[in-house]
Amino acid sequence: MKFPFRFWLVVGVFLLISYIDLYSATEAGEHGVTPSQIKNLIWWTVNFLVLTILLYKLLRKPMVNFFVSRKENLVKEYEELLARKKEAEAKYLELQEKIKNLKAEAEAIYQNYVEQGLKEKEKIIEEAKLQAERIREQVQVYIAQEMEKAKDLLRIELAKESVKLAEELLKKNLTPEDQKRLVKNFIEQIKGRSLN
Amino acid sequence: MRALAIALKYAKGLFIAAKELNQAEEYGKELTKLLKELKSQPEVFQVLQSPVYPPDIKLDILQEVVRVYRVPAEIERFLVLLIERRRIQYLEEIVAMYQALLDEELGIARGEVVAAYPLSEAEKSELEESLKELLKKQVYLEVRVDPEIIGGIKVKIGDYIWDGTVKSQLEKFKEIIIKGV
Repeated sequence: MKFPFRFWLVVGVFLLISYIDLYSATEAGEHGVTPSQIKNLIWWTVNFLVLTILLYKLLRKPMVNFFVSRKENLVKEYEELLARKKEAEAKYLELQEKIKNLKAEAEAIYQNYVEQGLKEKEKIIEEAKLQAERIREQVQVYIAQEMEKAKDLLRIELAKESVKLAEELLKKNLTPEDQKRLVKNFIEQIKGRSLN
Repeated sequence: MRALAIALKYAKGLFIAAKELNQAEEYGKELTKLLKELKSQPEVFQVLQSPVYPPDIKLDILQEVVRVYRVPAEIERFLVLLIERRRIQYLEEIVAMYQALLDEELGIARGEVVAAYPLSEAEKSELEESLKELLKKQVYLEVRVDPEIIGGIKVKIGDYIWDGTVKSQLEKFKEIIIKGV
């Protein structure tokens, strides 16, 4: 098994700190390093090394995997955020473009409505004219009909009055001789028919 | 309409029987005379025609009528038949139908003449003669006076009408004015 340089560096620094600490402790009031202390130091050192190696052996892969996975997730998230940022930027640009066109669009819609309104107005006026023309024609027909009716009524009234007057005159003026002549004429007509 | 159909049925029956007995004209005269006499006695005629009275009473009355007016036996039997069959109320129509059948048989046309004044016998005869020439039938007219026709005369024989009245001429004149011809 080969440990990387960093591992050995960390172990060395730790040991160095431990020796410095031990040395400081003897300098502070103790009378020299005792063999038991040296022995303890060696044991601690060995223990520490074994612990370090075990930790390295057991935790290295999961730790590496954890960090790799974390890195990948972060990269993925970063890429996603980047994509969303790009999308948002595009949307922003699009909206900006739309806002720019909005006024023109509103103007176009307004113009369109104005044109439609004008056309509708013309259409209504045209229809009203046609309707007025139709009504005028109908009124003329109605007037003509009423005139005809009035004429007919007048004619009927005239006929009635004329005949009434004629009847009265004839009743007054027909003499018995006239009556006999009328009967005679009738008999002559019958005779004429039988001859024919 | 039903009355006319019934009257025609009985009149035809009597007429056929009368023809067989060579008494068609006589029966006609007798029936006309009897009807005239009955009409002159409205109470009697009303009882005979009314459906309220039973046939027995009507037969008793008929016996009396026959005795008083000396109605021939055949006519009496016919009247009894009408009472029994409850058809006596159509006597007037039956007589009219009989007369029409007789007229048809004898070539007689009866009609009515409407005049504004009472026609003289000479005028009536002249008119009947002229119509006889036209219809080739003996014509008998009854005169009716109606001053409303103003002048002229109107003759009605069966379905034929000859209208020579001043009133109808004025009506025609009125139609011409109305039509504006």
